[in-house]
Amino acid sequence: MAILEEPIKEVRTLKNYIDGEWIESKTGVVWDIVNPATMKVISRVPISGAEEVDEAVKAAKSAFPEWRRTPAVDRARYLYRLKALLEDHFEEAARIGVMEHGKTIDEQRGEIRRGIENVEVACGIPSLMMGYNLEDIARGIDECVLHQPLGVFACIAPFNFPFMVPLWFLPYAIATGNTFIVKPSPEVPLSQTQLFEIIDEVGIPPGVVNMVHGGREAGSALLTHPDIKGISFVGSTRVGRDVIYKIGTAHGKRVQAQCSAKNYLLIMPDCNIDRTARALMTSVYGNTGQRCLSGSNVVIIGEDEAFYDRFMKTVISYAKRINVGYGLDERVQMGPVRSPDKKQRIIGHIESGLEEGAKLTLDGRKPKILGDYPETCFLGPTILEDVANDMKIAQEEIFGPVMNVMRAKNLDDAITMVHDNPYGNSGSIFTSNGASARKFQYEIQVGNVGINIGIVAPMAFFPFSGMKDSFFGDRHGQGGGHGFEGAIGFYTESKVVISRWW
Amino acid sequence: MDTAAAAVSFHGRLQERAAKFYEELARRYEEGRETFLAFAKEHRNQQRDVQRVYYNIITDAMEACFAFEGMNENDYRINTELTEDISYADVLKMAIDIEDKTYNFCVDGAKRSRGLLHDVPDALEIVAKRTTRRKQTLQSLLEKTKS
Repeated sequence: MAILEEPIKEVRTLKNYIDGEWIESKTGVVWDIVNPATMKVISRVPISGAEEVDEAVKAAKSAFPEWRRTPAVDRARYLYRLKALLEDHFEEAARIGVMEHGKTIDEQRGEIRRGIENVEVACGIPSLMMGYNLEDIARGIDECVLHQPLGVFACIAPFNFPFMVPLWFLPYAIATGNTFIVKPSPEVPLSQTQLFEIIDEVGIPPGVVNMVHGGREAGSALLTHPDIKGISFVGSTRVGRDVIYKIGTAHGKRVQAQCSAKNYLLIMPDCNIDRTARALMTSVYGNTGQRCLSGSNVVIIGEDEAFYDRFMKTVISYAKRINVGYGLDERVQMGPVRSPDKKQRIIGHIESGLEEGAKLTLDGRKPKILGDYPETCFLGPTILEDVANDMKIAQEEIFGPVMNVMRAKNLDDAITMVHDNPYGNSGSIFTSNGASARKFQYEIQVGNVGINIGIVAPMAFFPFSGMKDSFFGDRHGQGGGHGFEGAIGFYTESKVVISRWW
Repeated sequence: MDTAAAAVSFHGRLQERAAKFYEELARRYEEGRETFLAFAKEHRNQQRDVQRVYYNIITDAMEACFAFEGMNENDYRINTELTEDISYADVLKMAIDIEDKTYNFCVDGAKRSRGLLHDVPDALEIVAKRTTRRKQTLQSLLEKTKS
């Protein structure tokens, strides 16, 4: 089986995109971007400083007055063109993502699709952004609500979905008349660079969208800049809660911080075993476990040992069959993790589980790799049984292909286990019983609830939810709820007008 | 076939080879030229349609990985090599075999992936139906060569 053609042919140093121009960073600091499957350098990213962030903010601030006056229908037309060009570049974008991140080609195509869907939803902005009114709130007096943009917004993006996550925010921000700055993760800057090349082709006016590559300094500059009205962040709770939310709100900004997760998958004895086991593969091992919606703690409910054995036998059989390798090889079902340090961190979690008494049923630390690739970033599917809810591996986010198998006497106990964890991003139940499903949906304190769904990824026209230590802010990313529960609400201010004419 | 990507890629190659085969037939045989060109176009459209559907829905990638498990490319390989001295009747038999293999791939693929990616099996079933129509046309052309 041939490897799909790699779209990145030469190593180049990336540039920032500010005020409609590609600009070299002035800092002179560059990091190598390494393909985690081949370990070859594929690009170099500049680590920009506060000065470059300030230039981007100035450009965005200066573009705002004209952009907000651009009729919503005209702003939407830019997005329609963006959508068309993204479709034209779909396959190239997918393969770039595989090269820089390590996903499989199927997974990366999925990421591209989910990103484009947000552009599609934002195309509906003339309807989504409408206000409302009531005549004669008192005799001869009318009242209405207008939704208006605020100014410059920014996004600090994570490494795990380099193409999609900025598109949870950017299309809605500019559709509503704001201007925008993206700071991609310096680990995976190529997807956003390609996106901005396409944006450049769309012809969106200079300054409306800007991109600054960088690390902590650039992030910090965005967070504290007085001319930025709001920040969207996706990353760890440690950074999201203690840095982004705390400092951002202290600087008067709107903040939405989607953070870490520890997602529980509750398995009822009446579930469809085969379908559930497959869904678990997607949930735990998809994207090599590097997503905030990944299932991590599988809780098998009840004391039926025969069911437990039958279920685990099916799960182990599927997990063992997963082909690990380079994502551009179409036989591959699971790629590498993003970097060697992430692999070591995951191995550390597995070893901590073993020290605390978990049983290693499937060991992914030395995986069989399809093809001749260095094992530097590769891990195989791992299963740990006899995991207790108070173990470190059950409480902390692993962000790797590790399944913790736990037991609970009944559904109530299992829900308590979920609630004993500080995170509340996502959780699923697998059952054929409607009453169990409803109880779970009703009681569970997580933002994204799945019923017989492994990865509870809300579509672009619903908000991407999250609770407890998994989300900080008031408004979630993506569309949804007539727009105002999600991105449209985040990017607009509601202005009330009461009028009387003599 | 271990992944949806592999299955859709194989389907694309199958359709492309079939399209080229029919284009060659159209070049060689005046009789049935229009039919062969129409068939070539249909095969290309089918390649496009299945790929488009897959691109539109591929999000649960790992579940999709197991969707086509057990299918082997060797079971659906088609022969499109035309020798110089091949008879028109034998060419039509080759074409029928191509349609049979395409049909088998689509029906098997649809059956296996039904529970996971609804739109892909639907698209494959549409292709299978068209394949049946083409096969009927080819069989009637073959009958004519006997009379």
